[in-house]
Amino acid sequence: MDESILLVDDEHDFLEVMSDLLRDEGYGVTCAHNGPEALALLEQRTFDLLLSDINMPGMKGFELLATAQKRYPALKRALITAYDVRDYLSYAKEYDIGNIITKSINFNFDEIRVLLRNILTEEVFGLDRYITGPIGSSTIRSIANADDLLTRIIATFPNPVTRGKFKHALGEIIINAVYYGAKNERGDKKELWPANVTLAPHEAITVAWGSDAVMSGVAVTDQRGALTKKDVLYWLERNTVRGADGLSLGILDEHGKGLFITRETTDRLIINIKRDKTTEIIMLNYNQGKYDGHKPLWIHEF
Amino acid sequence: MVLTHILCVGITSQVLERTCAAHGYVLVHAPSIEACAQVDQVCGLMLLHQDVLSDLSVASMEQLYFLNNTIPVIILIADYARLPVSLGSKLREGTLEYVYEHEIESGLIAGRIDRLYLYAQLNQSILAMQHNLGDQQTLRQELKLRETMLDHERRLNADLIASLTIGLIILDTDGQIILLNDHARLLLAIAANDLFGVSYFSIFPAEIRADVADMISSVQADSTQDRIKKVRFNHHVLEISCHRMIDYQRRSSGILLLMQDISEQEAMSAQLYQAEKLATMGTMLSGIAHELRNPLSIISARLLRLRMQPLSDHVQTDKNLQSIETQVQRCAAIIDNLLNFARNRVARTGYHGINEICEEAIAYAAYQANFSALKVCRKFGEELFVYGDRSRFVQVVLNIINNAVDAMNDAGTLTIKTGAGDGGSVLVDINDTGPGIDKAIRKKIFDPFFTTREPGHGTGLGLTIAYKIVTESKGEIRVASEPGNTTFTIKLPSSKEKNNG
Repeated sequence: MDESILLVDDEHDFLEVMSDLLRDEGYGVTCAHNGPEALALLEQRTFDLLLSDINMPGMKGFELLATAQKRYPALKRALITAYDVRDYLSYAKEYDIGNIITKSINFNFDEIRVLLRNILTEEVFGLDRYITGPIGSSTIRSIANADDLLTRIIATFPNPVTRGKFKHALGEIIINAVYYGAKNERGDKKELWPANVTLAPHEAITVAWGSDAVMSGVAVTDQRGALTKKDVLYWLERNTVRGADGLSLGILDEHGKGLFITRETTDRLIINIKRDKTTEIIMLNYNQGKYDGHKPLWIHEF
Repeated sequence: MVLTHILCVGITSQVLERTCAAHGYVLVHAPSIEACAQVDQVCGLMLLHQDVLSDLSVASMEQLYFLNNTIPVIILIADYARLPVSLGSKLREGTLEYVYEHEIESGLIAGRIDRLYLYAQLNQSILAMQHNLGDQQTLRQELKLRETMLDHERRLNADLIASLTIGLIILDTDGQIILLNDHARLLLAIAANDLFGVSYFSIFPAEIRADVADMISSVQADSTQDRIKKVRFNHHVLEISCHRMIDYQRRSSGILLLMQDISEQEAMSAQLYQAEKLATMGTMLSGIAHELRNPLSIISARLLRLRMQPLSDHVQTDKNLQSIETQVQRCAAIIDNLLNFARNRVARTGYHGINEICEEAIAYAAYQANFSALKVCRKFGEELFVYGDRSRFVQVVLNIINNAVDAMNDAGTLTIKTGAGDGGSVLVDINDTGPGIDKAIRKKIFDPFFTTREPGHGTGLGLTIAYKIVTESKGEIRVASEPGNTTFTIKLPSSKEKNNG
């Protein structure tokens, strides 16, 4: 690997340790302390990835990424922040940013390593990128079939807390995958959804699961690729941002809560989209609560 | 009444005329009793001829008695046998005097007249004395009534003063105590009973004596202004006000001191300040939590590095350890800063530099999420000092800055300017480039619970409390606003002693 990363942060100490970590991974790292400095460097040479802090004096990370994208469309980009990503969902939507890495405590460099590789290689699909253990896989052809599978998958997870977290989220995601991903039903007409749906071979939903010493994960994949990054950000924002009445904007929405609830209840929610081909939703839960706290935003759309 | 005149009714006698004249009497004549009414001259004696009474009716008899009660009446008897019976008995009883014609002719009557004259004189002085006596009795009664009323009034005043829950002390112009009520005794913990004429100086406890002396002398110097001071004594906060007493001739007649225990109000307003501060902190809190995440994530990353690399690499190890130390100190500073603001510490009353106060407020405001998006411009003048509780001043500046930051909503310039104002005052201008305060609400911004923020954000007390703190410090807050340019000006009295070195 000799990809080059332009790292931008107003914290000198962070630049130092982060660039040390990235260099150890084999990346070429150049540091900038603010937006204008970063843009000047981009002017001088080509980078593969622009990784910027969000909250800096003067130009914010979002503006920097937007400006950089306009000038260098091929440049890959991601943001990194110590703050709560949920506070930035409106901006993420506005600036069309799918990747916000968190400076977590404990510092989760394993996660950062995987995420950066994903962004740089654009190879994002597959649960095996996150789980090192054996991966099980099964195909859902009907709702009745889904319930059994769900029970079976959950039983394989070693940690009871993890089992609880998956139970709700996975049920939600499978239902979504069947009705939206495969069948294209309308969310506001839930009462009209057929109780028992059978999926044709080209509609079938694939579920993969597995655990290792660090975490357990499930991936649900459809074959339509109808979900978009824009939709995801829209629904996350609807359920996170509060209106003048102090309630979330989407409190009365008939649908769109599934993704939000899944993001809230699982440790990591990763959404990989190949437009009009496939959507993969990956849920990860750490076996130990080592990385509780702010969750990154992981949406890859091609 | 002129007693020297004698009314003669139905009598004409030359001898009588002469005798009376010789004794200094004057005769006034009337032909009949009825004609007496025509006589203008007031007489001291009446001389009646028996014949004018011959047809004595009940009415004329009563008239006779009436006359006799006022002046002596002498009946001249010409023929005893012809006397009416009722009159005869009166003569015998001695109610009426009588005289015979020969007594007139011989001049003997003069002795009788003299005697009756003396009698009449005595009678009149008795009457006068009676009158006088009556007057005196009335006067005494009136005095007694007045005394009762005064007593009532005095008792009402005494009760009023005694039951006042305000300490009242009245001093004469020399500062000696004329009156000191029970509540004043209680507030000042005075045991002694009789303090009349004692100097005020000896009854005030040492810790507040100087303050009181100061107030009294300044009131005496300028009577138009009352002085009010809050002092601490015996774990209480006393508010003492000092007024000059003016008598009905507009002359200074003494000093009135009123004292009130305001510990409870003070405690409550302190609680209010604290509550507002905590509410402000609540909105700052998520910002502070974020602020901690930055150094903590660096520490965490450094630890990861330390774990990954060989310990023998001293240069790397030192670099990482040093960074951890720096970041730990940064975390501690953030927490200290927060505690400094939050803690309900004993008032740090003293001299504080206005630039320092503003800098501290800016540091707190910086925890607000959207603060970093703004441009902050400091136009600080030379350091000027104000006197008071530092945290209160910081609270004032912070509340106004917070409003400015909210108003600008992610873009704009916050300008904080300090400097000297007129009369040696200290000025702080806090300017924002936000949309401005609508004219319709400009009057309401200092009202309690008035807020333009969403429910659940802000208490609506920020400016109210800022206003309260500033006016309590004898300062002013002004606001000038137009779209894109709003300035809050805080004017505080300067501490001249300190500012002049």
